[in-house]
Amino acid sequence: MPVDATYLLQLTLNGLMLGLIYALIAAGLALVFGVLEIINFAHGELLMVGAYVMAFALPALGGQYIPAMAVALLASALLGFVLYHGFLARLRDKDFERSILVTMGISMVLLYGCQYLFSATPKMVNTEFGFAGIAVGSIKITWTRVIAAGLAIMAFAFLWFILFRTQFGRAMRAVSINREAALMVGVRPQSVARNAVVIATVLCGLAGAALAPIHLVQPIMGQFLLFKAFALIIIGGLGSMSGAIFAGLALGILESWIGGFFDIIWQEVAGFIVMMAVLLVRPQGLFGQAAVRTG
Amino acid sequence: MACALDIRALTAGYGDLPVVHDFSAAIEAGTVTTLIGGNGAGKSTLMRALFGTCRLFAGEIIFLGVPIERMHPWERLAHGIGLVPQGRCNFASMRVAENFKMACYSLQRADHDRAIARTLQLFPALKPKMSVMAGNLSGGEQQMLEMAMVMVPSPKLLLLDEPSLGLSPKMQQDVFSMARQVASIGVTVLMVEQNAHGALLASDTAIVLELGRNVLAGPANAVIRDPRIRLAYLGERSTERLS
Ligand SMILES: Nc1ncnc2c1ncn2[C@@H]1O[C@H](COP(=O)(O)OP(=O)(O)O)[C@@H](O)[C@H]1O
Ligand SMILES: [Mg+2]
Repeated sequence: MPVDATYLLQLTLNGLMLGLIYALIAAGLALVFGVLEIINFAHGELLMVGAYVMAFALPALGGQYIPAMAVALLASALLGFVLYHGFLARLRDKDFERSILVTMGISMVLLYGCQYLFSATPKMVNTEFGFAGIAVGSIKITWTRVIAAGLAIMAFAFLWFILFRTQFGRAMRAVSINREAALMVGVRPQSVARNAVVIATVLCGLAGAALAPIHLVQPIMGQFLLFKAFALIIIGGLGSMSGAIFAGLALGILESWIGGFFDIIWQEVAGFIVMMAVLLVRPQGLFGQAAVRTG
Repeated sequence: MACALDIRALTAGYGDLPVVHDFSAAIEAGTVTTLIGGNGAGKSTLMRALFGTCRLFAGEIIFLGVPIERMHPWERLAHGIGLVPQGRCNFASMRVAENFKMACYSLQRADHDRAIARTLQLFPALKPKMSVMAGNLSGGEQQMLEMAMVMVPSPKLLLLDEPSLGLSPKMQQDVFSMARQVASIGVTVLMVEQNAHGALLASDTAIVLELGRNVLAGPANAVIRDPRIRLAYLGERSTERLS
């Protein structure tokens, strides 16, 4: 069966867009795991909150995309700050089990709190762009998708710059590589942990806000994505941010191809099949180091 | 000489468990002191207590006239205390150059390059290794790197926890002569050593720790001749000595 090139390109572009969203979520999860050594079960709800802020800010601001996005990102930063100081800062070292329960609790409170306030009915939001877009040959891509992809790419460039070119970000990598060595050079682990949580929340909020005008906004939306994000950080190698980002992009494209050629059901399972395969063949993940942390 | 570090009745440990008990010692500025003691005696715990990375139950630590026992590790670093912990303690997946950059964390941006260059003069062997991943250096090179990293912000007190552990005899000698060299520029050095003989030869003073208590302190050349110390820590069996 010959594959229509235009159709394949369309699928790939859609997949890339989806992959960038996955990568944003997974990068934040990997960052928090690396620096705080906890799995944040509330990570999906951080995305959902970002989407809801966008969904309310857009009509309030007359549909203007960028100002509404700025509001969503600011709200996410604030949420990250509260999440850290209210809950995560109170966990002690080696408190992994308690961290699971605490973040699960936060997840449930946010999920059902949102459902109580705004009902479970999905919201549709419109922007100044409506359904306008750009055409690449016979493929049409809406502006909301183009901008979402552009913002995600900018976010990754910014993240890279912070992590590899500033002391502020280098300290995050330092804490996740070797906590004791970080103390040795004078890092304050609490400040670094707070910065990591705020950055992760903003990345997640960006994903949610970018999704809001593209997909339905509903309280449960984060839950669907969280478990995929878990699969992604395992595929990428726990704590490896580049691994998580790569796995996110790859999964987005893979899902889109599968959805385009097979029954849609397989699309949802693909990530987990890959995860299991990776766990069997390369337990440390694609980008993980075979010998895990020594510190 | 002036007393740089005055430890008074220090009790420290983890959780609810004190490991070091009622430890007192006065260490003079610009000297090398070796702390010896058996496994689990609490040597590392004492070092952590001085840097602020374990729990303090009681006692005082006066460093250059300032009580520091309530300070966080980064505040102690700012006061001139540096600790090279036991075992590997660097950023293995960063290059040596970036490890040095992290070592500048407590310094102003404008001082980074100068501080790194000054430290590299003390550790010239690391110069050709700047673009190597720290985790790919040999054990001895990693130990040197860690000492160098702690020297970057110019500490006045250098705490070394078993710096010669796992090194070749040649590298062990290098570590001890490095300690002497650091002391010669006015830094007070306190090191824990398993290789008590080599360390004592390079030291001015020795302290013996047993079960978390200071049981003996004195000039290194006297401690090295003490028959009890020879028996317990210098690997000597008294009967064999006579034959
Ligand atoms: N992080 C820790 N938490 C709890 N107990 C510890 C910890 N580190 C060391 N200990 C205990 O403290 C005692 C002294 O250990 P340590 O100071 O490392 O001894 P040394 O360095 O002299 O071999 C040991 O009994 C050890 O089990
Ligand atoms: Mg020890």
